[in-house]
Amino acid sequence: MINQQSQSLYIQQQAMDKSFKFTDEELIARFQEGDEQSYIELVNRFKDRLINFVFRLVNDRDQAEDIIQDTMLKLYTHKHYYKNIAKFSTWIYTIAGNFAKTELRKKKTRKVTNNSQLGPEDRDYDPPSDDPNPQKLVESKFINTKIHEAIENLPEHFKVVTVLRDIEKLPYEEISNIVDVPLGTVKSRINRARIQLQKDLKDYI
Amino acid sequence: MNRYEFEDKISDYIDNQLSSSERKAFENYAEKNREAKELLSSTKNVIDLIKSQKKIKTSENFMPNLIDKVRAYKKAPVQSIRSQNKNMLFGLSPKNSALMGVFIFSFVFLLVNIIPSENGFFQSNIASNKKNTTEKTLRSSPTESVDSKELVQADSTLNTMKPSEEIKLRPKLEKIDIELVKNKR
Repeated sequence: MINQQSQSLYIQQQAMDKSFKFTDEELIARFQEGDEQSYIELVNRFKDRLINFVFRLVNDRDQAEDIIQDTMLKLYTHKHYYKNIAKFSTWIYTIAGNFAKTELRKKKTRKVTNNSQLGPEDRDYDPPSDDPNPQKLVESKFINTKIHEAIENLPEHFKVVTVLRDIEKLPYEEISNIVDVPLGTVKSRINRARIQLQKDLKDYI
Repeated sequence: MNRYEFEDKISDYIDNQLSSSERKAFENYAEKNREAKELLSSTKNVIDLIKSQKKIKTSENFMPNLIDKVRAYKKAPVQSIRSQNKNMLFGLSPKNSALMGVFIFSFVFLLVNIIPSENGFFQSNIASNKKNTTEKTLRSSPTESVDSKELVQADSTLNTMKPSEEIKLRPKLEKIDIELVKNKR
């Protein structure tokens, strides 16, 4: 009896290990065939990557989490919309980006108080630091806040490509597919955004 | 290379996207221009700072909340679609379907009654009735040469005229009809 249980546990463990070896495209294909474990694996792979991307666009952690929830729900409800002609990551980033843009448009019309008008203590983004030195901790927090402000002040089309390139570390070609603009335009936008950031942050580096 | 070309290629240089000759020209320019060198170094530092930013993570409640949403969707996706379609008529809201009905009716009315057509299919009722009468009369009395000439002339006018002109000509046509009937008798 115990032997049987340990054997079934071993089989389950093997199945879990296998799912980690699958590519994103293989997982979505399995999910399209009805394997819900593959869906869980895809959510686990992308939830933290996507929240970093969306958070930099909407500048509100709770809202960013809601957007990722909507994105993942859409992945569940519209799984057959994905066709294996593009990378899965491109598709899921596009969905999350579109949700974020819609939210930004709603924000503009609602004219909600901009986070940049709040003091640093009001911000819900407070990156944790492993540095035990209090002075360095304060400096690090200050620089992080400045970087965050500088990114936030970029025009939206510069902000998206900068976050995708420098924070998400995606290749230029994939960014071009996500934002649906030519590769040359992506390169130019990233270059101009970086020069803008350099001008805004040169006093703090 | 000038300053503008240098600025355009900073990202490509940092991301290692330049060819070896372009890279060499870029580095030579940076070596000769102190400002350009500072700009390059400062941009590199900014990118490193952005890249080194701590990543945020989703909250612990993320997965339980998502699973709840998925379960809710599994329970009622069809129901929600049905409730959305409940008040629809041919895929349109009642207001839009009423507007569409009025539009279609107006279009058909205009097509049948106002727009003249050469083959007579969409010809106005008044014009086609008059034309039929004159044709019948012409066939039944082939001998009346003078009057039939006048009739043919009136008939050709009838084919090309507008409905407003037709109303003006109506008394004249009626007179011709009466004369033709008298002649026949």
